[in-house]
Amino acid sequence: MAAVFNLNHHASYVNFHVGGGSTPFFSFSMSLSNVIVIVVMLIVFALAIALPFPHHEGAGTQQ
Amino acid sequence: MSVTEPPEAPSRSWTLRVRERAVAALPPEKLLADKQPTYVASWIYVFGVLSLSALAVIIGSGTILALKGPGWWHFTGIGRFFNSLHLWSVELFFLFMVIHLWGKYWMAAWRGGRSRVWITGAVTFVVAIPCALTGYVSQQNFDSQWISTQAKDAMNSVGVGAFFNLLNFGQMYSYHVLLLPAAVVALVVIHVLLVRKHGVVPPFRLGDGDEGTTSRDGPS
Repeated sequence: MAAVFNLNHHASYVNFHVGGGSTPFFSFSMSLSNVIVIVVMLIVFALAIALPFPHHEGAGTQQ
Repeated sequence: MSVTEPPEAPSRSWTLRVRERAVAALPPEKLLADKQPTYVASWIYVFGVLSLSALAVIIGSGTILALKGPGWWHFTGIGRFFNSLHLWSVELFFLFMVIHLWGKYWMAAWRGGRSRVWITGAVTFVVAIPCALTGYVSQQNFDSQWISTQAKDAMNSVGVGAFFNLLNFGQMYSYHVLLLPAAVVALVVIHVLLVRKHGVVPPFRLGDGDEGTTSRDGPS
């Protein structure tokens, strides 16, 4: 069965550096799929805080 | 003539002492509470039980995989289905657990005498990582060979390669199906019982950042 995504290629990476030269001050390198998962987690986290929770009057809560 | 029996001496057996301490620490209304404080009605409080649900699917699918073996999970349709179910429940377990961790971190969930709740949760997360890693190296395919040869360098670099040989399938498989899952489940049980004992951490009150830092009685 074919995979939903074509995985038969090299991974895509997100790279950036702070500071030039041969030894940058800060270097970031992460696969695009891992970046996407982390961004999804941050979005779910923000939605979990922001979205209203359905309330049922008097059901299973106490003041 | 009547015979009166002497009053029965109170039993001091260890089972009685354990029962008394258990009931005192976790009375039934706390152990199986039917009501929660109103502040629990928020989506951010849902991720703990979502992690538990994912863990239940992991244990269930993993048990079936262990019963059937690598030939089944690699070469049959239903085997590949359970293999995927096991993988994706692990992915969701970590996703839910990370969001649960973020939520509790920003709530300072160790307040109000809940330090052991926080510590058991954090240790569970740390123990779950090698539990997942040993699963990746137990797949019995080229993927597991690649991961194990890469991960052994990490083990060697921190000086524990003599104890944890990632190229040893028997060792990794027994770690993955018995030792580490047992540790994760035991830690989760302790974590949940501590949550039941201390209650769910209340949110900060607006304008009072120190609220709840001294009470050991849980939510008021």
